[in-house]
Amino acid sequence: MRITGVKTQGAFWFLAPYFFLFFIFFLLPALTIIPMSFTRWNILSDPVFVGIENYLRMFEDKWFWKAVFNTFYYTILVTIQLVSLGLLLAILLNQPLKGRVVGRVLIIMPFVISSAAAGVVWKWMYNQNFGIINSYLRQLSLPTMGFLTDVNQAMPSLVFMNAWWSVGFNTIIFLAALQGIPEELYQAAKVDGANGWQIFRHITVPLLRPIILYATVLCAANSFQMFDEAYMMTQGGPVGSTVTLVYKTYNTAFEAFRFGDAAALSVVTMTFILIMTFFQFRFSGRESFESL
Amino acid sequence: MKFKFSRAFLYTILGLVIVFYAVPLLVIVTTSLKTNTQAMTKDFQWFPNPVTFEQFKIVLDRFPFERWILNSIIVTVGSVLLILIVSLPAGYAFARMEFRGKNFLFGLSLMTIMLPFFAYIPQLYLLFLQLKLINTYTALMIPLATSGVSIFLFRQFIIQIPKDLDEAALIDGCTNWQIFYRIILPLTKPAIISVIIFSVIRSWNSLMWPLIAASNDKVKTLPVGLAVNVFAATTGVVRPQPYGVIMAAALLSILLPVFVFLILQRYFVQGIATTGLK
Repeated sequence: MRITGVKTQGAFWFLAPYFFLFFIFFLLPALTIIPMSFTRWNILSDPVFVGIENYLRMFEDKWFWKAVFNTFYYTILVTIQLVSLGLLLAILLNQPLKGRVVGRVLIIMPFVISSAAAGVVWKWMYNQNFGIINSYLRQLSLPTMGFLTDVNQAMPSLVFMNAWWSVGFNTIIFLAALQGIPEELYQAAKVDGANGWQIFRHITVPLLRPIILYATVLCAANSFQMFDEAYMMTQGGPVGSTVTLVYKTYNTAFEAFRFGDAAALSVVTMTFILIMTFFQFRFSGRESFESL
Repeated sequence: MKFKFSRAFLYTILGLVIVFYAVPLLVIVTTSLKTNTQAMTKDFQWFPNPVTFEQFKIVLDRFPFERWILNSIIVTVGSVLLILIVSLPAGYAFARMEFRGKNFLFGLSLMTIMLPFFAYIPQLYLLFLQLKLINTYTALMIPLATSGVSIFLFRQFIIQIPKDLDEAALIDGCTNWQIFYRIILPLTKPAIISVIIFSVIRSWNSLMWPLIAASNDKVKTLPVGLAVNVFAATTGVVRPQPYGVIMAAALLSILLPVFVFLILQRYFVQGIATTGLK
């Protein structure tokens, strides 16, 4: 009892620095954005209260729904790609192969490269006339592709660039988890006559389940806020096909200076995130949390 | 025989993987060493002929590139220190101390992980505008430090440290601060290294917030300089540079992180692995 008594006293000063920042720079803006969404405001003049007008206009705007669709489309594609590719690469790097260290270094390296640098090099490689990919397509007598200029290809192209840029993180956490699986389990399965696929299906996947879940949640949460790739490579185009919710919020606030509308978009984005968090906790929360 | 086939197969796959992850890096290097005429040929050529450093000279002449690098270093060091200062004591308090509202406060700090500042960015900008902090280093550092991720990592790590040591120290009359500083902090080193690595990457590479909060060249960071001034991502505002110049700038901007990564590679891998596992 004495021990807990002593420990209780000092807690305030241990927590004060963080919670000072938390209240002013997190809670305050995250809450005051709600009243802001009921105003018309270009920040030069005073805000004008307009009720739910911003929301009504937003819900009638087909480009808003396009952005909602794009955000989910991107999130789902990227998450599936990064989790499955990360797992496959981890399994590959877990084999006793010469040169796997080189592979590992190259796969993680893009993780330290900025979205700005990654964006410019992929925009250059995707270039229709002079890019390396179309250059090889031409040499193979295949039609060239408008990776970033075709309405249907732009978003998948942004997704594919992530296979290079951000798969390293997943690869490493999967690799660490694979190395934690005792070798005896594989030996026993082999003795029992299991083939590679059966071992993968019945030993690797079940044992990696918590970490796969963790990677999926993390990927989905990160990609839901996609902005950088769209800003660097497509500016939301062509024809709004790569405009995500965060990109649209940025544009509305900092290009069009319609802060009321931007706030309404933010409130919708936050609502989506909170709903997803709720479901994540409801259905897999405990499991994914225990794996952290 | 089957065994041999699968080895050959695995090596082929590994080869393809290595090529795929190396190509963008090689494209940056080779394009930055080419003349403009050679960069803009329809058939991609791997070898620059002639090799020219003209593009690097243009980057350093036309842009305050050294200033951007310096700004990025200042912001990164500052935000990492700020993150450690606010989240280490908080992580310790949540792991070791008993106080009223502990679970509630911990839950609040976890909220920041689910709701990153992208979600309310217009209001964050206005807040910094009112505080007259736009175009300052402070504005670039603070939002990175509100995330509770590092508190969570520190708490998880400290909770696993056996309590015997600090309980003995407590009986010897050490204060909480002394226990934290002398006993817990040295044992938390692996978690501190992870947090430093992640915070450095996040801060060095962050684009959206600096784009909004630091448009002035005095505080502009490397990714924004590359994106806005060299690459002219926002079409029509500035004239874009030729691709050779852009790749030279991209190469200069990734040299430092790649170099540090290659030296500290082992810690990177461990750092990432610790966040994924216990």
